[in-house]
Amino acid sequence: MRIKLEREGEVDHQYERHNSEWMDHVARENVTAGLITWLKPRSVIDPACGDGGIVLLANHIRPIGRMVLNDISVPSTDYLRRQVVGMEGVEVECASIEEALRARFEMPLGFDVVVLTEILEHMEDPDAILKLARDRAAYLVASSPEMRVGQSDAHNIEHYWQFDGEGYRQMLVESGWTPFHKTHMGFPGFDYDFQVWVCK
Amino acid sequence: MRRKLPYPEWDYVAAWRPMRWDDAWIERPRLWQSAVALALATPSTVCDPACGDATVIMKAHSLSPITKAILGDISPDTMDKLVPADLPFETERHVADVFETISGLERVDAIVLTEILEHLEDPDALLKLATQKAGWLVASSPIVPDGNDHTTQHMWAFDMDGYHDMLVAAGWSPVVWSSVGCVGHPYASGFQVWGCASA
Repeated sequence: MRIKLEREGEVDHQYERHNSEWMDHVARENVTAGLITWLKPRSVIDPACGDGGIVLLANHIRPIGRMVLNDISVPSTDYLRRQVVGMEGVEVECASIEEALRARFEMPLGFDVVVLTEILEHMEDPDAILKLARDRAAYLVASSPEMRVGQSDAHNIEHYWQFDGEGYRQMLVESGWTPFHKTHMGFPGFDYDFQVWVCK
Repeated sequence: MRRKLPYPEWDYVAAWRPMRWDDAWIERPRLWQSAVALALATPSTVCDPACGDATVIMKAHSLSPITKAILGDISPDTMDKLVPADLPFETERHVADVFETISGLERVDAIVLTEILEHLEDPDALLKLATQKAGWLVASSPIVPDGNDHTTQHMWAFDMDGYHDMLVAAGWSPVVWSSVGCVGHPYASGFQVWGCASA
């Protein structure tokens, strides 16, 4: 299942938001960081990094040589620049996800890992983003809310799409990725779960 | 669904496994997910009475600092040869079965029962005992939807509903659950990892 949600107007992305505000997002962030370290990357690009917490946590667990952290939000990237003062190997940029995934950052052989967490459901054309990412990295770590029967994402006005696990898997495959790991995490009483995928 | 399997009891002292689970690439997401479920409770004191190589507690410590761990295993070889000597927190080590280790506990913040309940004749009794000793539980086991578990050391097979019902009946209230699957793993449906508060 993959459903396009009816939305009117553009969403304002110019805010600063932290995953640490919600217990479920803390868990999801920790899961995702651990899966990045599993791949032992030397270079990672997160083109919609938010507060940058996932890649910085992965780097804390297992050092990554080069990290490109990009977000469209000026407040988020301003915050992030303050967080990484003095850290080696981190580049913080403020651009759209499409710009970040195109040849904006010099990396002739590509990145080891591209991270697309909690972003594809916000995009008008997530397939195009996944295809752009395919050209930029060897591995993908992607996550989004997962809807089971009876759950709905319609109330979240920032989300353009809702997926179940199979709909998400199909989107990944049709965009050129081969999934080889999935963590499906839920919280009793919540109206959504998380799906975290690792693909090559 | 939960199913009692026909396999005979296993001698875990004589037939200890000289392998670190953390060395197996395909096992790491499950181990990590267990650590995430443990760290979610930000525990200071933790007991893992069937700790194997103690990987779950070590990984959780990288997310949320643990000050003291009570580690147990029925196999002296496992305790001596697999658990690192220089863990970065205070440890108390017991060569004992899981019931003995938990029965002797002072109260701790969290108990870890990962990949152990399916090995026990009476997992319900252990889960009930654990409610008296901790406010948080991390439990994991293979997901075996058809009940046909190929591992001869396992006395029980569970799907996720059967596992959930066992946890709740013992007095635990699930806060987070997950299924963790890897292409190529012998457990094709993956593993279930639960973080629970005492009800």
